[in-house]
Amino acid sequence: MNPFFRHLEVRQIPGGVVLYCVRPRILDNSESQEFGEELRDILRLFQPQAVVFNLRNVVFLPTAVLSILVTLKVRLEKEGKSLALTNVRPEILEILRIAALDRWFQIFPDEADAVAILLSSAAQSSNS
Amino acid sequence: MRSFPNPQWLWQHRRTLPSILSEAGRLLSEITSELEHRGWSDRDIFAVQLAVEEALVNAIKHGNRSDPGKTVTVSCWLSEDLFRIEIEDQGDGFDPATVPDPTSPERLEEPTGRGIMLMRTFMTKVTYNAKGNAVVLEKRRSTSDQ
Repeated sequence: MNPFFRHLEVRQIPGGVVLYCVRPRILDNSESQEFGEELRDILRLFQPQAVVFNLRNVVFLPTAVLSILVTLKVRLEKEGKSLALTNVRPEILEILRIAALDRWFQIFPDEADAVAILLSSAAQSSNS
Repeated sequence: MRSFPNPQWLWQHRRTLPSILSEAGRLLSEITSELEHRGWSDRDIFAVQLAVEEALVNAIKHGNRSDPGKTVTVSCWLSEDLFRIEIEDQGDGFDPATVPDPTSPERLEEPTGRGIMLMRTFMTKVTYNAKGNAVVLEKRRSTSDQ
Protein backbone atom coordinates (compact mmCIF):
# COMPACT_ATOMS: atom_id res chain seq x y z
CA MET A 1 0.00 0.00 0.00
CA ASN A 2 1.15 3.51 -0.80
CA PRO A 3 1.12 5.82 2.23
CA PHE A 4 1.39 9.10 0.35
CA PHE A 5 -2.24 9.71 -0.47
CA ARG A 6 -4.87 10.97 1.93
CA HIS A 7 -7.97 9.54 0.33
CA LEU A 8 -6.71 6.56 -1.61
CA GLU A 9 -4.53 3.56 -1.03
CA VAL A 10 -2.79 2.16 -4.08
CA ARG A 11 -1.78 -1.44 -4.76
CA GLN A 12 0.33 -1.87 -7.81
CA ILE A 13 -0.33 -4.85 -10.04
CA PRO A 14 1.43 -5.66 -13.31
CA GLY A 15 0.11 -3.10 -15.81
CA GLY A 16 -2.27 -1.43 -13.46
CA VAL A 17 -3.34 -0.36 -10.01
CA VAL A 18 -5.98 -1.31 -7.51
CA LEU A 19 -7.37 1.66 -5.58
CA TYR A 20 -9.06 1.59 -2.18
CA CYS A 21 -10.86 4.51 -0.55
CA VAL A 22 -9.38 5.16 2.86
CA ARG A 23 -12.53 6.70 4.30
CA PRO A 24 -16.10 5.54 3.89
CA ARG A 25 -17.52 8.86 2.79
CA ILE A 26 -16.41 12.10 1.22
CA LEU A 27 -18.78 15.00 1.69
CA ASP A 28 -16.95 18.25 1.64
CA ASN A 29 -16.39 19.80 -1.76
CA SER A 30 -12.73 20.52 -1.05
CA GLU A 31 -12.32 16.86 -0.11
CA SER A 32 -13.90 15.69 -3.33
CA GLN A 33 -11.53 18.05 -5.18
CA GLU A 34 -8.60 16.53 -3.31
CA PHE A 35 -9.93 13.09 -4.15
CA GLY A 36 -9.97 14.00 -7.84
CA GLU A 37 -6.50 15.50 -7.65
CA GLU A 38 -5.15 12.35 -6.00
CA LEU A 39 -6.64 10.27 -8.77
CA ARG A 40 -4.94 12.43 -11.39
CA ASP A 41 -1.63 12.17 -9.50
CA ILE A 42 -1.96 8.39 -9.34
CA LEU A 43 -2.62 8.15 -13.07
CA ARG A 44 0.40 10.34 -13.79
CA LEU A 45 2.65 8.50 -11.36
CA PHE A 46 1.76 4.90 -12.15
CA GLN A 47 0.62 5.21 -15.80
CA PRO A 48 -1.73 2.25 -15.37
CA GLN A 49 -3.30 0.46 -18.32
CA ALA A 50 -6.02 -0.79 -16.03
CA VAL A 51 -7.55 0.70 -12.90
CA VAL A 52 -9.54 -1.44 -10.50
CA PHE A 53 -11.46 0.62 -7.97
CA ASN A 54 -12.30 -1.47 -4.92
CA LEU A 55 -15.25 0.22 -3.20
CA ARG A 56 -15.41 -2.15 -0.23
CA ASN A 57 -15.02 0.75 2.25
CA VAL A 58 -17.43 3.10 0.54
CA VAL A 59 -20.76 3.39 2.33
CA PHE A 60 -21.82 6.68 0.80
CA LEU A 61 -21.38 8.05 -2.70
CA PRO A 62 -22.34 11.68 -3.25
CA THR A 63 -22.76 12.78 -6.85
CA ALA A 64 -19.57 14.87 -6.56
CA VAL A 65 -17.57 11.64 -6.25
CA LEU A 66 -19.73 9.83 -8.78
CA SER A 67 -18.87 12.62 -11.22
CA ILE A 68 -15.18 12.01 -10.62
CA LEU A 69 -15.59 8.29 -11.35
CA VAL A 70 -17.51 9.04 -14.56
CA THR A 71 -14.82 11.49 -15.67
CA LEU A 72 -12.11 8.95 -14.80
CA LYS A 73 -13.70 6.24 -16.93
CA VAL A 74 -14.20 8.57 -19.91
CA ARG A 75 -10.61 9.73 -19.67
CA LEU A 76 -9.13 6.24 -19.36
CA GLU A 77 -11.16 4.88 -22.26
CA LYS A 78 -10.10 7.77 -24.49
CA GLU A 79 -6.54 6.66 -23.81
CA GLY A 80 -7.36 3.00 -24.55
CA LYS A 81 -7.24 2.09 -20.87
CA SER A 82 -9.88 0.56 -18.66
CA LEU A 83 -11.62 0.97 -15.32
CA ALA A 84 -13.55 -1.55 -13.27
CA LEU A 85 -15.35 -1.27 -9.96
CA THR A 86 -15.42 -4.11 -7.45
CA ASN A 87 -16.85 -4.93 -4.04
CA VAL A 88 -19.67 -2.44 -4.51
CA ARG A 89 -22.09 -2.44 -1.58
CA PRO A 90 -25.77 -2.91 -2.38
CA GLU A 91 -26.70 0.65 -1.43
CA ILE A 92 -23.99 2.06 -3.70
CA LEU A 93 -25.04 -0.31 -6.47
CA GLU A 94 -28.56 1.04 -6.11
CA ILE A 95 -27.29 4.57 -6.72
CA LEU A 96 -25.44 3.38 -9.82
CA ARG A 97 -28.55 1.52 -11.00
CA ILE A 98 -30.79 4.58 -10.55
CA ALA A 99 -28.27 6.66 -12.48
CA ALA A 100 -28.23 3.96 -15.22
CA LEU A 101 -24.51 3.56 -14.61
CA ASP A 102 -24.59 -0.02 -13.31
CA ARG A 103 -24.11 -1.34 -16.84
CA TRP A 104 -22.02 1.57 -18.06
CA PHE A 105 -19.32 0.83 -15.51
CA GLN A 106 -17.68 -2.59 -15.53
CA ILE A 107 -18.59 -3.95 -12.11
CA PHE A 108 -17.23 -7.17 -10.64
CA PRO A 109 -18.19 -8.73 -7.33
CA ASP A 110 -14.61 -9.75 -6.67
CA GLU A 111 -11.34 -7.82 -6.98
CA ALA A 112 -9.36 -10.82 -8.26
CA ASP A 113 -11.80 -11.34 -11.14
CA ALA A 114 -11.66 -7.67 -12.08
CA VAL A 115 -7.87 -7.66 -12.06
CA ALA A 116 -7.65 -10.84 -14.15
CA ILE A 117 -10.13 -9.66 -16.78
CA LEU A 118 -8.82 -6.12 -17.09
CA LEU A 119 -5.21 -7.21 -17.34
CA SER A 120 -6.07 -9.89 -19.85
CA SER A 121 -7.87 -7.38 -22.08
CA ALA A 122 -5.03 -4.87 -21.63
CA ALA A 123 -2.53 -7.55 -22.74
CA GLN A 124 -4.68 -8.39 -25.78
CA SER A 125 -4.93 -4.76 -26.87
CA SER A 126 -1.18 -4.21 -26.50
CA ASN A 127 -0.51 -7.36 -28.61
CA SER A 128 -2.93 -6.37 -31.37
CA MET B 1 -42.78 28.81 0.23
CA ARG B 2 -44.44 28.08 3.54
CA SER B 3 -44.47 24.90 5.53
CA PHE B 4 -46.92 24.34 8.32
CA PRO B 5 -45.40 22.66 11.32
CA ASN B 6 -47.61 19.92 12.63
CA PRO B 7 -48.26 19.79 16.38
CA GLN B 8 -47.17 16.16 16.30
CA TRP B 9 -43.63 17.05 15.36
CA LEU B 10 -41.21 15.43 17.79
CA TRP B 11 -38.20 17.47 16.69
CA GLN B 12 -37.87 20.79 14.93
CA HIS B 13 -34.76 22.63 13.94
CA ARG B 14 -34.03 25.83 12.06
CA ARG B 15 -30.63 27.11 11.10
CA THR B 16 -28.98 29.56 8.77
CA LEU B 17 -25.82 28.16 7.23
CA PRO B 18 -22.98 30.00 5.56
CA SER B 19 -22.24 28.81 2.02
CA ILE B 20 -19.61 26.36 3.24
CA LEU B 21 -19.98 22.65 2.58
CA SER B 22 -18.39 21.55 5.85
CA GLU B 23 -21.25 23.33 7.66
CA ALA B 24 -23.67 21.23 5.64
CA GLY B 25 -21.83 18.13 6.84
CA ARG B 26 -22.30 19.10 10.47
CA LEU B 27 -26.03 19.65 10.00
CA LEU B 28 -26.34 16.35 8.20
CA SER B 29 -24.69 14.56 11.14
CA GLU B 30 -27.23 16.11 13.52
CA ILE B 31 -30.14 15.00 11.35
CA THR B 32 -28.73 11.49 11.10
CA SER B 33 -28.30 11.29 14.87
CA GLU B 34 -31.90 12.37 15.39
CA LEU B 35 -33.21 9.75 12.97
CA GLU B 36 -31.06 7.06 14.62
CA HIS B 37 -32.30 8.15 18.03
CA ARG B 38 -35.91 7.73 16.83
CA GLY B 39 -35.17 4.24 15.52
CA TRP B 40 -35.43 4.94 11.78
CA SER B 41 -34.04 2.15 9.60
CA ASP B 42 -30.57 2.29 8.06
CA ARG B 43 -32.18 2.30 4.63
CA ASP B 44 -34.34 5.33 5.40
CA ILE B 45 -31.43 7.16 7.00
CA PHE B 46 -29.27 6.45 3.95
CA ALA B 47 -32.01 7.90 1.72
CA VAL B 48 -32.37 11.04 3.83
CA GLN B 49 -28.59 11.54 4.03
CA LEU B 50 -28.17 11.21 0.31
CA ALA B 51 -31.05 13.51 -0.63
CA VAL B 52 -30.36 16.19 1.99
CA GLU B 53 -26.70 16.27 1.09
CA GLU B 54 -27.49 16.71 -2.59
CA ALA B 55 -29.97 19.48 -1.81
CA LEU B 56 -27.52 21.31 0.48
CA VAL B 57 -24.71 21.01 -2.05
CA ASN B 58 -27.03 22.32 -4.77
CA ALA B 59 -28.04 25.27 -2.58
CA ILE B 60 -24.46 26.17 -1.67
CA LYS B 61 -22.68 25.47 -4.95
CA HIS B 62 -25.29 26.14 -7.62
CA GLY B 63 -27.74 28.42 -5.78
CA ASN B 64 -25.36 30.64 -3.83
CA ARG B 65 -22.35 29.82 -6.04
CA SER B 66 -20.34 29.35 -2.83
CA ASP B 67 -20.59 33.09 -2.20
CA PRO B 68 -19.51 33.61 1.45
CA GLY B 69 -21.86 36.60 1.66
CA LYS B 70 -24.91 34.42 1.02
CA THR B 71 -26.58 31.96 3.35
CA VAL B 72 -28.78 28.88 3.21
CA THR B 73 -31.81 28.68 5.51
CA VAL B 74 -32.72 25.19 6.65
CA SER B 75 -35.82 24.14 8.58
CA CYS B 76 -36.38 20.51 9.61
CA TRP B 77 -39.29 18.71 11.19
CA LEU B 78 -39.48 15.13 12.37
CA SER B 79 -42.56 13.25 13.49
CA GLU B 80 -42.94 9.57 14.30
CA ASP B 81 -43.24 8.66 10.63
CA LEU B 82 -42.29 11.72 8.57
CA PHE B 83 -39.11 13.71 8.05
CA ARG B 84 -39.39 17.07 6.29
CA ILE B 85 -36.72 19.58 5.43
CA GLU B 86 -36.95 22.93 3.68
CA ILE B 87 -33.76 24.35 2.17
CA GLU B 88 -33.71 27.85 0.74
CA ASP B 89 -30.74 29.58 -0.86
CA GLN B 90 -30.25 33.21 -1.89
CA GLY B 91 -29.58 32.49 -5.53
CA ASP B 92 -31.61 33.29 -8.64
CA GLY B 93 -33.34 29.91 -8.66
CA PHE B 94 -33.83 27.54 -11.57
CA ASP B 95 -36.53 25.55 -13.29
CA PRO B 96 -36.12 21.88 -12.31
CA ALA B 97 -38.25 20.88 -15.31
CA THR B 98 -35.46 22.01 -17.62
CA VAL B 99 -32.85 19.69 -16.10
CA PRO B 100 -32.19 16.97 -18.69
CA ASP B 101 -32.63 13.29 -17.90
CA PRO B 102 -29.16 12.12 -16.79
CA THR B 103 -30.02 8.48 -17.58
CA SER B 104 -30.53 9.11 -21.30
CA PRO B 105 -27.80 7.34 -23.30
CA GLU B 106 -26.37 10.58 -24.69
CA ARG B 107 -25.93 11.98 -21.18
CA LEU B 108 -24.43 9.00 -19.36
CA GLU B 109 -20.90 10.29 -19.84
CA GLU B 110 -21.79 13.72 -18.46
CA PRO B 111 -20.18 14.12 -15.04
CA THR B 112 -23.00 16.17 -13.49
CA GLY B 113 -26.79 16.43 -13.32
CA ARG B 114 -27.76 13.40 -11.22
CA GLY B 115 -28.49 15.02 -7.87
CA ILE B 116 -32.14 15.98 -8.44
CA MET B 117 -32.97 12.57 -9.88
CA LEU B 118 -31.45 10.84 -6.84
CA MET B 119 -33.38 13.13 -4.49
CA ARG B 120 -36.64 12.32 -6.26
CA THR B 121 -35.88 8.60 -6.16
CA PHE B 122 -34.89 8.34 -2.53
CA MET B 123 -37.45 10.72 -1.02
CA THR B 124 -41.23 10.40 -0.84
CA LYS B 125 -41.83 13.93 -2.11
CA VAL B 126 -39.65 16.69 -3.56
CA THR B 127 -41.20 20.12 -4.21
CA TYR B 128 -39.56 23.29 -5.50
CA ASN B 129 -40.99 26.77 -5.08
CA ALA B 130 -41.88 28.82 -8.16
CA LYS B 131 -38.56 30.68 -8.18
CA GLY B 132 -36.59 27.46 -7.82
CA ASN B 133 -34.42 28.62 -4.93
CA ALA B 134 -36.15 26.55 -2.23
CA VAL B 135 -36.92 22.88 -2.01
CA VAL B 136 -38.95 20.81 0.42
CA LEU B 137 -37.95 17.17 0.81
CA GLU B 138 -40.16 14.68 2.62
CA LYS B 139 -39.41 11.12 3.61
CA ARG B 140 -42.15 8.87 4.93
CA ARG B 141 -40.79 6.26 7.33
CA SER B 142 -40.78 2.80 5.76
CA THR B 143 -42.93 0.14 7.30
CA SER B 144 -41.25 -3.09 8.38
CA ASP B 145 -42.36 -4.95 5.23
CA GLN B 146 -40.97 -2.34 2.80
